[in-house]
Amino acid sequence: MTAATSRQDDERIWIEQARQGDHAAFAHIVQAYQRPVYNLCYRMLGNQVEAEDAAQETFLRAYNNLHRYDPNRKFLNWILSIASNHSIDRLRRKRHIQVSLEDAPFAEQLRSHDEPLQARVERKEKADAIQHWVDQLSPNYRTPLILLYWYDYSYEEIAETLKLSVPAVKSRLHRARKQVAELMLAEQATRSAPTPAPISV
Amino acid sequence: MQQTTHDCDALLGQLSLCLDKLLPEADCAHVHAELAQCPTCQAFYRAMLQVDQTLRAAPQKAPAYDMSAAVLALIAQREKRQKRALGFTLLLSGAMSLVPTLVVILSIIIAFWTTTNPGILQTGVDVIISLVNVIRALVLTFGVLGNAISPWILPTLAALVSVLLLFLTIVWARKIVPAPSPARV
Repeated sequence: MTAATSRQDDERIWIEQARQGDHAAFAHIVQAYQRPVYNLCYRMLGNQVEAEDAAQETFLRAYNNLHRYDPNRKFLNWILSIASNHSIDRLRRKRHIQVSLEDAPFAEQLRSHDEPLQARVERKEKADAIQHWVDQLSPNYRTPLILLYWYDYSYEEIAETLKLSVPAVKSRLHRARKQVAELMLAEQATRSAPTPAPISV
Repeated sequence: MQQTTHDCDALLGQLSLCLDKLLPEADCAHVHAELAQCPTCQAFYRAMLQVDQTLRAAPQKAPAYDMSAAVLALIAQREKRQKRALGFTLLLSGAMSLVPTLVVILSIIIAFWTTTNPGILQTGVDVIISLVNVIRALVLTFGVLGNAISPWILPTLAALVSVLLLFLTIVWARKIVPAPSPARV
């Protein structure tokens, strides 16, 4: 038996036990899926605290709706669709307040001296830029982009997770990429604009 | 910044599919040949390529701690809240069904007292008797109406009122128990 099959079997058992109210079984599910769920929430919401809250709420909703889960469907797709819907709801409910990106984890990275400061600053700037671009997109464009790049989902899988048609996914992905490209070009144009000459008195 | 035209948009859409390897190589070669003739599209495509590479290299974010304990605490909190709400609902429903029963029992007792001891309780229960009379008048009025319309009207109305009361009790019970906020670790 392969490791993947064994894991799927374990999952099936955990889901069945959790459906019957077994909290310990659900804890296994949380441990198995917390990283992809948290990452989706983080990429959607743009900050650590919001992402933690959203990820916890996602698992709570999943627990309450386990009886609706269709075992023929991939569990990851199902839970990511809950996370995506919940993150979109959050974004719509209140205007997202941009908290400093990377928050605590990056602060810890900055404190570590394993990497030269210049390289760490560059990496932080790059990570900030990525999240900044993603934050500029409307939630409808943001989710397909996140599923494509961070989950390696095919267009069909994105369509299944978001309950969209494949042409709609194509269109949203293209628009998302184009919007990010526009942002990047605008930033480059701003950076390359000549600085005003000093005024001579 | 340069603006794309409708044609540019279609070309960039196809390039987007090429990036995801969803167009055959021959078609992509044709699209790239078209791209070579449009400087605006080239600038956009270069930016799209850069975005694509940056996003593909971006790592997945991991939570700073194991969330299972926090999630289980949330679930326990929510289940406790649901149990409490159910308790409130049952208690209120019981209390609500007890009130008409008490009224009936009280009426019977008063009627019994007033007929067996007309002199003793006459003054003390005057107010209650008048209240009972008002209720009797109301019941008679409804009874007359009920007889005029249908013999089932009163039980139906009573059932509807009970269902409405039960519904209002559930709504109220759900409102009074505050929703827990996601736990922090």
